[in-house]
Amino acid sequence: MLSRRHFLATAASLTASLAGGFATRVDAQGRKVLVATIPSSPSTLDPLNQSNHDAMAVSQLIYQNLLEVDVDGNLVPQLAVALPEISEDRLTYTFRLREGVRFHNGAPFTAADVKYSYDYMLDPANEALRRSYWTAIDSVEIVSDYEVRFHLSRPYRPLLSSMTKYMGIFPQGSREGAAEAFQTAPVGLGTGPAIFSEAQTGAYVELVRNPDYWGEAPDWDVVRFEIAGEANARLAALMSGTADVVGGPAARDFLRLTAEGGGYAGASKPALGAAMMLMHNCAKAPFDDRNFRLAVARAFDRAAIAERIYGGLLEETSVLVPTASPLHAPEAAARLSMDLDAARAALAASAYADAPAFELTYPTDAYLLDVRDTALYIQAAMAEVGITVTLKPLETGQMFGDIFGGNHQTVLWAVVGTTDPTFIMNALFVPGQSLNVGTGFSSEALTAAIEESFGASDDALAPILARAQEILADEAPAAFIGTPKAFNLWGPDVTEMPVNTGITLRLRDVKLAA
Amino acid sequence: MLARSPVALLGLALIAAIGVIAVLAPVLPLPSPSATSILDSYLPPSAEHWFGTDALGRDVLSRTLWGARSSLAIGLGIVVIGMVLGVSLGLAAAEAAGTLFEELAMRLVDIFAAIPVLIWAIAVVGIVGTGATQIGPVSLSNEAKLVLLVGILFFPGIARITYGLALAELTQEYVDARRLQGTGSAAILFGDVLPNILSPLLVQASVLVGIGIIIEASLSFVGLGVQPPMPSWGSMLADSKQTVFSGEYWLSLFPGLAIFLSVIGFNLLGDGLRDLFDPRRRTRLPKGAA
Amino acid sequence: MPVLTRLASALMVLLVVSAMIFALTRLGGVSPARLVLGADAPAESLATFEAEHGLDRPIVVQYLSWLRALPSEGFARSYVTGQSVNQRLAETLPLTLELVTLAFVLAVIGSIALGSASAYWENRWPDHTVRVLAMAALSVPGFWLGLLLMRWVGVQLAWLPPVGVIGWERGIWPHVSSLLLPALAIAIYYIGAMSRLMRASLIDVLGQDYTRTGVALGLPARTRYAYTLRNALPPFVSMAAMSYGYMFGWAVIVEMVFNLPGVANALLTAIFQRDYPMIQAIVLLITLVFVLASTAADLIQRALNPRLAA
Repeated sequence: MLSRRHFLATAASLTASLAGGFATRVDAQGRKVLVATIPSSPSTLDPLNQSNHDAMAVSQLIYQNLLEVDVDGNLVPQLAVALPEISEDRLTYTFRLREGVRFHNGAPFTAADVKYSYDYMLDPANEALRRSYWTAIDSVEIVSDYEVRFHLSRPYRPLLSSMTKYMGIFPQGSREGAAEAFQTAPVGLGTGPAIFSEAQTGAYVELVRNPDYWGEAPDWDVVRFEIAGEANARLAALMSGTADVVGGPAARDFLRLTAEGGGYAGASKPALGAAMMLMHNCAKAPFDDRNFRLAVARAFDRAAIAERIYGGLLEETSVLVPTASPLHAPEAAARLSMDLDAARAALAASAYADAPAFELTYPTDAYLLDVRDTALYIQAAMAEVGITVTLKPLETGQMFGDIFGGNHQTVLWAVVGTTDPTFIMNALFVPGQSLNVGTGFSSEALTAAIEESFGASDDALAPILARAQEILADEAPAAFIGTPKAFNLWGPDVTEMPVNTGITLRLRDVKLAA
Repeated sequence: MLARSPVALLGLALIAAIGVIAVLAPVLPLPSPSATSILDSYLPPSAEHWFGTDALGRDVLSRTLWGARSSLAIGLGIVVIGMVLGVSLGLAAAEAAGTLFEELAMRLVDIFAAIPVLIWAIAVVGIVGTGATQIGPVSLSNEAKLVLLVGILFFPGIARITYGLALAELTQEYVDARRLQGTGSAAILFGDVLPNILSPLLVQASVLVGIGIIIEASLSFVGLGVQPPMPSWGSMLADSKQTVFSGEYWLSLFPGLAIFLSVIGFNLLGDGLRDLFDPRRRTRLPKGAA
Repeated sequence: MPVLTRLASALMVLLVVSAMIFALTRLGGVSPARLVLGADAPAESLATFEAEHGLDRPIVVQYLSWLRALPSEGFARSYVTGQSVNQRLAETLPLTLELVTLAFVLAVIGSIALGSASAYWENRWPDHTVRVLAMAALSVPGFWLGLLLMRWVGVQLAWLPPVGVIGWERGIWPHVSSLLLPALAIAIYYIGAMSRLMRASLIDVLGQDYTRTGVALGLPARTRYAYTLRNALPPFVSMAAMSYGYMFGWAVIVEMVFNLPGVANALLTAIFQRDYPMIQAIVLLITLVFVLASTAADLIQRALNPRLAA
């Protein structure tokens, strides 16, 4: 039998839930909690091996770097006090470090930690996922406790932008025997505003505010990442008040909820260094034929995809460089614009004019953007010019297996890199770089242009990149579709939230209602 | 005979209607189910598009009718495989009663009966992938794999029923008479025994088709079932997930309703047949006796 | 010794099934080494990985050593996350057990109540209503129902939490309430199936001579109902026990829709990651529950129905 009091208590909590009061703005200990839902569970929390941008939202609250990218996409100092001094020959970078910073384990942050972290990452034995981005570094020199110098073997302009993202500084000696900690429970290893508290794979990651944080104290006491693979589940969490911030909302939900108001708000920004494309395998039929690639590139309507499928949250571009960028080459882009007659002519001139067909692989789980509708649209568009497309939806892991085994014909997906304008070009088309095995394409002229751009200053970049885009328009080694925007959606308790141009959620600076 | 059961008739009528639609889909004056018209996305039901259009401007009516083909084909295919395997093994085991073969056959049935269908279907398709799988010279599409797999997992239930019924049937005097006439085992089993025990098997089959349709829909819902551009009700529902909160009800209502009506058709048919074949179930007390 | 025979056969079934799932995970396409170490991993580190995890040995040897380690060490480590599979199961299994048990309780209570009402008022309006509803329940795909419940009951009406699970530490009711919608999405099919069986078997028993005698002797209605129910129970118990096992299958899809971090959801994730040790462990575990449920169904039925025990 229920006691009367027990019954009343149950009834009271029932009423509370009937009223929709599930929110956990302040927890039992009186801490302010910020809840964000993200689509996938971090497979590791090690900043050196992050392959997934959802997971970076977590690790970038724990670990920090010498530099970061601000909300407008500019390089700004983080653990350094200023941007580095760069030598005339662009071979030495000297950073002055911030003093008084402590790791979560209480140890002071010094130049020795920076050297230790970079040396660890650069050691091939440690198999850091993106080591290839820093191979220009020859050595890291401790000048003094708070000054560190990087010596390069060749000028390498993308160095600083890579430093903001695929790296993290951890305490000297911390790696020894701590592989597990870095992967699943990084306690005492970072300098960031949040300290790892607890996590359950596939369910949540919880961080608490670092009370000794060197910068401006965050507005929250606890950040909880709830993992929800389904876009609907993330939206339902927001609409029922269990979550404050939604990462990776579906484009239509984002547009509808921000237009309706009703307490929900959101913002979008062009993402820097991101691209959605058909990544062809040019080493294999039928994409080994330039005319076939040109036919595909000209047979679909990028504007329709950008406007109808993504509601403007994708900006069309056919030459990788975003249309809005000052580096965009409109003449090159125009050469790949939709033109069915030109597409048919190119197809007729190709070696595969008889029975033109290809297999299109795409990821089933929405990574960065849901591309399923686009895949179906492209299938129908190709049918217009007589190309038969077989769709091959694959889970992202299997898709990577295909790409790196060179088994695919073409893959429809979105990639995101750094703010450096050559990042994706270099990864895709320069021999030996991470995705080159998946494109099977290189051209001496393009490689030379990219190499030249590494040594060029920012002002000298425009003509070099224009040349690169001409080559992309000539060869069409990939059918670029557009640049996705970063967009975040949040609920009524969030009063301020900067959208990160680098696509990951940037929760450090979120402000909550009192 | 069916006329005596209005329930069975109703079920049969539903199935027949859906079956006719499935067969006629290619000749009906409908747009192609995979033709996109991206500027006409998310149009509500109208005179031009009776069931509205989806995210790519495809006609939902056309997709729903074409979806009947994949859903029915897979539901029926599963049961045909299950029946062929189950009935053959059940009959053979009953005929071989008392031998090692019977023991082995029924152990095999026990093992397969211990496999939870949905979990295994998801795990197996997940592991071998949704693309075409090459087995020797044969290339199996994901739909074919699905039919084979679930069909195999369905066979133990059918085998057990067949075995039980056939054991009883084989003790009948006419069987001995036929044997004396020199009729072979296979001829007796398939020519005499099977027709006599078919009714309860049909009841079972009818119910299993309904379950098969739901399993297909569930697998397509998680992306492991029917692959695009072929429309299926399950994958249409999966597509409609993106409209759960935005209110384009027609994307989920029509395929959902189609699954509901076809499954209820097979269930009604099964119910009606059971009432006809199994008189004990129809035992009725005089009114008010309870 | 029917009980021992039954248990022995259950054990054999598990052995065969575990071998099947083991073979299956080894036959599928890409090497786990490639998936874990990534694209640019050189051939020698792939070979090292395979040697470390014993992937280079013949599949039969791999299976036997896996089997030998099972009783003492439990399951191995996940290739993908490096996490212990035991720990992952310990994290996720309780939630799925809770969810399925809650669904089971809803199904049993719902179907006994509806089935009894239906039999008691046979061919009157409560019977007709229940029969129509039961037929409808059998024909609705649970995942679609789940989406509708989440959208309308969870978000629109805000009666119950629409997604995720609320921890025990925030109270028993908040916790259970957060599992009610998904449990209902699983249970509804079984309420349909089991209430039909309950009805049919009650009507059967009510038609038996001994029940009529009871009526003639003037036994009180309540005693008569209890008596009738007891006799109508064996087929129901058997079906209910089987249903408990089947519910884990539907939990896969329902956990995905409602975003519950249970073991069924972990299976989908493991499949998508090709995390073979995890897939093996979860499928084996759910098969184990299923085999236990059907063994229990068998034994209970024998106990309730002495004629079968012979």
